[in-house]
Amino acid sequence: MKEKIRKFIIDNFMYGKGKLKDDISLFDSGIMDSLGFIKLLAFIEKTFRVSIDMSEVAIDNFDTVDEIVKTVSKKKRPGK
Amino acid sequence: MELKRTAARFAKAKLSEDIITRDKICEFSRKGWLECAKFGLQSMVVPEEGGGGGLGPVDTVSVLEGIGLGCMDNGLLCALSAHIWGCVLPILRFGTEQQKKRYLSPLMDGALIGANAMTELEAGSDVYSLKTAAKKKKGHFLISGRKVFITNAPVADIFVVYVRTGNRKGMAGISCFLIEKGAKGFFVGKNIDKMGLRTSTMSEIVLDGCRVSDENLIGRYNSGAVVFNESISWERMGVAALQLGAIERLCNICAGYAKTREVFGRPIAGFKIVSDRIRDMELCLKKGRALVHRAAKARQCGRPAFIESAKAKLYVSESYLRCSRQALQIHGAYGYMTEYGLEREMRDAMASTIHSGTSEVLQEMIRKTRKVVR
Repeated sequence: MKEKIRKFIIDNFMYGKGKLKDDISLFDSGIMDSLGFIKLLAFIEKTFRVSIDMSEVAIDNFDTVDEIVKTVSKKKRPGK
Repeated sequence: MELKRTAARFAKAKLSEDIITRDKICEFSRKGWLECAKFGLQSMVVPEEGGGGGLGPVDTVSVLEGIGLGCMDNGLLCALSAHIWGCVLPILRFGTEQQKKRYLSPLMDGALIGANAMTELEAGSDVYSLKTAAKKKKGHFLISGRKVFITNAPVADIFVVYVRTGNRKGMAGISCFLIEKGAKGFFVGKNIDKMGLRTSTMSEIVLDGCRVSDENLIGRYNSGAVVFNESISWERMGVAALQLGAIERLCNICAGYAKTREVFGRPIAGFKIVSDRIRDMELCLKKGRALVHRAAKARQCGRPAFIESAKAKLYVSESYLRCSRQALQIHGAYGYMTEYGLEREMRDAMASTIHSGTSEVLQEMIRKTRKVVR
């Protein structure tokens, strides 16, 4: 899961170049903007077959690769 | 279809009174506002168990299309859009139970008017470069800054205000607050005179150490951008539906006029140049309707429809401006006269390509997200 997410971010927001640390803030570093965020949510829903309710979204939960993985894993857990 | 017809009948009968005079003197219609509340416009997206109409996105755009078709007071519709999408929706989707209990009922029955304050002098199209900031204290926030071009501000009772919380850049460090008119340190400017949509009010607001309780936060701390994205996405679809109705109204007016107006001994509808103009307007209507309903269906399936809504708004607002110009031209000198209402329609249509995301911003957004399937 982590690899897929990291690849998506590098391909879509970093022109397919560079390294991405798992704990770097995607928003503060300027890698992801509001449109990128929408794009990321669409990717997550489609790739990992989870449904994201916007009213439950906290930006901090999508701020780093680690946080994204944690958030998606929670969503995928049965009963979540 | 029935929803649209009913809405159009209501709007035609109740919402266009004295529009020429009120447009001249920039007068907002409180009477029209209350009629809309009685009809259920302010509450249509609120679930039935919450006292609203419980309409889904597809039915909502049908109602709005009908309202746009019947109502000539585009300023009133602009005020309604700011109220529903900018204030009611954020409370409904992101508000606490306490906020819903306190504000939704009076916002639905017309007693309160809502406004939405995002834009700043240096944060218009670049919405997330906000300077207005909140300092977190124990149990409350102190907010300072200035918001401009705020629709409804002179008549609003409750404001949804987006401010920077913390030192983070861009969309990550923004929070959303509910602030009531009359709060200490909260000031509303005078109504601004403008080219079109003159029956809706607009002014700046100034926050000077405005004290706001923690309980006034809408959505999560530092996640106001999520609230804004959801609100603006609905708003774009909603205003596009209203403008579709306006385009249909213009088509009907022009088709009727072209059949009865004669030059060189025959109706102008018989001249190719005129019938081509009307056909162009009808084509805009059909294409626009397909885009608006596509966005509504995407929402109905549970998707935010961010890009679909942007596409619908971009196409319909540009088409509305184009069709208002065509309508004026078909009417010749009569169209240029205030009495016929077509010059007002053109002034109003110009605004539609600027508010809720300028056409340029929407084009750029669509270009950047071409592969988005959401």
